[in-house]
Amino acid sequence: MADIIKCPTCGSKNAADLEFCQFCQTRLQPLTGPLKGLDRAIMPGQNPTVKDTGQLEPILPEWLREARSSAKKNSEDDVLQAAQKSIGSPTVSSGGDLLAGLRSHAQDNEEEDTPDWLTSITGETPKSKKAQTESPEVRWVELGAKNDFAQEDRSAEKPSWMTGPASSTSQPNNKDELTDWFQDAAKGSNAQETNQPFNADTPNWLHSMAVENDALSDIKPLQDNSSVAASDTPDWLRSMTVEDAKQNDDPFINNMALPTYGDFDAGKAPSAEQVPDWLKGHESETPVAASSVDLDWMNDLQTGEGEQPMQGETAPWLKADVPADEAQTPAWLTDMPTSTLPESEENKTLADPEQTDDTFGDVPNWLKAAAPQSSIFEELPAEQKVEALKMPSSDSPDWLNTFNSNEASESQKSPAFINDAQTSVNSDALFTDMPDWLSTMDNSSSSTTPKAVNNAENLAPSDLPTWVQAMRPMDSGISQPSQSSYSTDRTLESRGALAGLQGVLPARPGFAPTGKPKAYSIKLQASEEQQAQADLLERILAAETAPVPMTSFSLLSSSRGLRWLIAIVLFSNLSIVLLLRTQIFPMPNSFPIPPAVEGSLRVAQSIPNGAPVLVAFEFESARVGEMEAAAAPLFDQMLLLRRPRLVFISTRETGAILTERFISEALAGYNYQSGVDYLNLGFLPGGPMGIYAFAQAPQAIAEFAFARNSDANNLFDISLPPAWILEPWKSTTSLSQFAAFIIVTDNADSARVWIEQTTSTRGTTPVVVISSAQAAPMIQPYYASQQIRGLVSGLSGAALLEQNNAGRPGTARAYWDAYNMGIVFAVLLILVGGLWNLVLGLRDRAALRDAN
Amino acid sequence: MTLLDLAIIIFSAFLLLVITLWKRKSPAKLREIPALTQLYRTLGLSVEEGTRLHISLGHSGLLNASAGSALAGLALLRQIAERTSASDRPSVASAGDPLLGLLAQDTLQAGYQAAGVEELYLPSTGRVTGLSPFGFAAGAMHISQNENVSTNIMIGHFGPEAALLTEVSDRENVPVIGASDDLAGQAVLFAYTQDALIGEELFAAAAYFDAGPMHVASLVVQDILRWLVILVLLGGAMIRTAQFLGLL
Amino acid sequence: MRAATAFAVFITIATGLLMLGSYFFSPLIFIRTLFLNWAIILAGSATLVGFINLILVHTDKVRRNEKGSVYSALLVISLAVTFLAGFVLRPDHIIMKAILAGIIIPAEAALMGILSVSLLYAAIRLLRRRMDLTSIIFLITAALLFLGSVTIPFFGEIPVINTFAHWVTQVGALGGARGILIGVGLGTLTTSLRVLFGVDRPYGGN
Repeated sequence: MADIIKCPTCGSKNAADLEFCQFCQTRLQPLTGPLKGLDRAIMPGQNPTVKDTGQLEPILPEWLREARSSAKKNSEDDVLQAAQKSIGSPTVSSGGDLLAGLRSHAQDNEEEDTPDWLTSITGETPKSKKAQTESPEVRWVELGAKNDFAQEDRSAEKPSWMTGPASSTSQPNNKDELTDWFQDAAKGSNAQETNQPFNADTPNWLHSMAVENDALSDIKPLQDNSSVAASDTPDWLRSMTVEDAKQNDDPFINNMALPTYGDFDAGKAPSAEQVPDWLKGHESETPVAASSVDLDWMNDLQTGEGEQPMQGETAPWLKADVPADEAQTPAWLTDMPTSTLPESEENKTLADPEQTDDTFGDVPNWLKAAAPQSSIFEELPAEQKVEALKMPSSDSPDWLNTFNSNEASESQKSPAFINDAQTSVNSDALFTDMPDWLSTMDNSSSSTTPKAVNNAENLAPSDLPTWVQAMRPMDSGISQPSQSSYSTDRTLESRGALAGLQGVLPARPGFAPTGKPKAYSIKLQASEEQQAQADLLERILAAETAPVPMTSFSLLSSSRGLRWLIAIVLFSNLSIVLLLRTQIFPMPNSFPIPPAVEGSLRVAQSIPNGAPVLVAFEFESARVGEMEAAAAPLFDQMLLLRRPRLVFISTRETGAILTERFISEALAGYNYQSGVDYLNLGFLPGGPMGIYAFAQAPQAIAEFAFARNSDANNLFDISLPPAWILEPWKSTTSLSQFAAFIIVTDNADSARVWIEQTTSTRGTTPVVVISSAQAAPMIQPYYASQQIRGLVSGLSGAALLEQNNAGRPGTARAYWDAYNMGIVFAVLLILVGGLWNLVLGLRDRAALRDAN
Repeated sequence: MTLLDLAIIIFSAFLLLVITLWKRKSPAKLREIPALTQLYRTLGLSVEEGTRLHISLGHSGLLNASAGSALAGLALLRQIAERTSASDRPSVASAGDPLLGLLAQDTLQAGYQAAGVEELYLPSTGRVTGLSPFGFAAGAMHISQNENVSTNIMIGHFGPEAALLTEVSDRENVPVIGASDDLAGQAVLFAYTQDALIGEELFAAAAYFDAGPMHVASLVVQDILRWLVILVLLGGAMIRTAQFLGLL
Repeated sequence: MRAATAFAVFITIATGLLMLGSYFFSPLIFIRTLFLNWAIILAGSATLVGFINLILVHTDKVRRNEKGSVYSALLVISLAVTFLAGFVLRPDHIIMKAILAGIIIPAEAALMGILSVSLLYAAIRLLRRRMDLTSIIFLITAALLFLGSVTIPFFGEIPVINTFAHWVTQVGALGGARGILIGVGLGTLTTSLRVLFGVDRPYGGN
């Protein structure tokens, strides 16, 4: 057992004499001599020291050293090839930053602060994501297996309650990924013009990653550089930022609020939680000799993990001097070897990416491909591979260990990758809307190492390492005709963002069909209870945002024309009849005469001559026409036969004046004099209480007559004459001493009050009620119960009385025809109009039913 | 008055107190009256629209038999004033009786006080528009036409003159919610309004506006007394019939 | 509760109980008479208060030049003239009779005429506003009662309809009306009890 060493990283067994693990290339033998301890991880708070990166080469993984050595071999060729700048290959070789694309994913989080499902339930239309015309091909190269994409079945996997009205609009944008391909190509070319750190031997994937990352790091503060939903951000990347920040639960906010590089420069060292271990290590070491391109990935790592400056503000770390960044570049990357990618192999069908996925679980595919322990060379048991990924190794770079740990924790939760956030618009903005700070950055970087760009066309596809081929997509999702169209288009772009690129635009107009990459599920891991609560929240919000119609009363529109028609028909006929004094309609001649009317006649005839009679005038002046006509026959007979001494009183304000009118007009022929033949006691306030009080003591309550004092010559003498000074009123101290009590009223309540409040005091005094036709039915029971002796009801009752009074005074006869004519027309209008409106109403109802 | 009258009054008062205590603990369950439901909505709409409510209390005096309807109208006015006191256009109350006009002013002020906005109270919002039924109606018509009224609420003692108010409301397309204790007024309101309050529903209005447990209890007492009246009437009719048939 | 309100509540309850008791206990009759006299005086004074309120409201309208202020001005002027004339001349004066016969009665009679048109209009439109069996019965009953109170030329009263109208008036309508009035009376009773208990305070106070 002594001759076997167990790899601390992957756990596999190696021979004791091996310096590196034969499986994962992890250093097994500790460094000695001057390099002793260099492979030890930098601890938090440890200050970086200036080192010669060349001294650090032994600690590099073997695969990286091999890459560096091969790069050295072709360094001179790279310079020459860069001068040629022939770029047009679809598989653009770009300087490789191992973490290319990380920032783009991180930046994408900024835009999508609000998940779509939340946006949809609030009723707002989510921001339409910018069209992505990126090719999924590049995405596969950059991000790994196509299975990691989520666009295809995103909506299908979304719960119905999460599917808002706006989701459909944003969905196509997410699916369209063609622009990724072009975008990366453009970035690559641009980066090749500015940063030339790599030689032609650099693997294409590294080139593309590095160049893309350079561009993305430069445009990071741009506002509109994200187009992918936040949910598409891989959890492992999100966790990186979250773990670093740990101060805010919101991953998006974390990305935006992470400490900037300037914080480091200013001595504001972030807490250990905020800076990943691997970054701390590199900061402490601070390698001296490193190219500016090598710094890019470091910058990206810093910003991608721990830094995400707010939009619109210049990242402090970008303002810092480039040499300072260079100083922090790890030495092991300084001389990173590059490899020549054979063009023939590039187009080959490589290993199934899904298989690679299965092997590495949720490890990012680009990392799987980049990792030297890739199973492409040697297959290991799956458990062993996973274990190897999880185990930190002292020999492996700290940043890699960090990823391993993060991924291991997140491997069971979420998919590894999301679709690329970069859009064509963003790539345009990359060059057109470049802010000052970014321009500065470009100048500095371009002036650092003006090297020639690698030309992918010079790379034979067969030179691609198999592990790189393994991470290329097997099924790009693009149909062959489309691919052929791209491949056959060799137009060299000469202007714009794609200047210098060849074959990046579709040869034919229109939108190239895109294959639908397989999607990973973004379905929330929500329990039924949570979904029910979310559903409830959605309904609550929907109820609050839904406009509530302010249903008003269903008013029937007014018909002015109908009013005029009624008025004209009614008044014209009545006027004609009244003016012509027609007697077409016969007077009622009920025989025998109704008992109530007959009782009234009996009372009138039974009054002693000159006896006091109390009269309550309780009607409004509006009804004076009806009430005077109703009362006139009875008073006519009574005055004609007995000439009683009348006492008028009223609880209405206008009663006194109406009394005077009645005496002076209806009874004008009898020449009754105020104070002599009649007493007008005027207004009796207090309603029922006043009546009750008056019934108790008439002379005390109504002491004065409502008439001018005949002795007063002065108009402004407001004194009232005493009422009860003459006989027979002087001796009438109670209601029972009146010969009769006549109530003339248009209101049943008035009659009722007078009847009830005087019951105890009036004794046997007969009561006769002359009422309007409207109030008569309610007074009828008092006659039925013999509380009153007679009842004259409106004009009909007056007509009956006149019939039995020799037609005197003729008032009822004068009104009778007009009265009858008016009623007939009213009945006709009601019946005809009612039927007409019934038909209209039925029609409206049917129309409403049909409308519903 | 007889001792029977006194017994009825005492019995009613006892029931009212007991049921009030009971209703304080158990929530009221009131049947839906469409007119009052509309009235409840009207208050909110009025405040939201910045329009005015016109509450007509009728021309009943407080010293006559129809004073009950006037008091019921005042109780409702109190609730309306409290709820619409913050409106841009305060509610206006009109009365056809001087005493009722004074009490309408006091009631409006009390409503504003309860709402904590007494400073917004205007004495002119409680008006006597006329001293006779038709005079009162004519004055109230003027309010409906000229003061941006959104709804006319007629609750109190109205006779046939109610048709004048409803006529104006109809011309101005203003909804009317009406209740009267007068039979002629009820007939007019039935013909003119979508949902009229018939009979004793007039006295239930305040209870529907959460005026307090005693308002709810008074409804229960009314129901109990009504059942007693029904039993007495039926019993009396049966006894009378039996006497007529010689059975008794 | 403010002291004024408490005092008003006390006055109300005490007065109400005394008045109620005076109907059943004869020793309290003198209190009832006293209160009745006060009530009559207050009611008469209230008329004057209503008169003043009417003037204030309409003068305020005139002062603020509100819509229809012309009519308000006319009302105030007419009111003042009529008041002074009635106060000085008394109702039996020829000028007051002229005012009554020429202004007051025609104005109110005109309102009555408008009322008849309005009621006819409402009856015609009733089935459009509320189409149900109740409305149909309402209209048919109204038409029959109308016809029951008229005579037709050369024939006189309509026998069947007259009998039916009489029956409806005396039995159907009267029975229903009595029922409604009993309900109104019960409502009045409970409302009055609430006032006696101080729950309803139309005189103000929270």
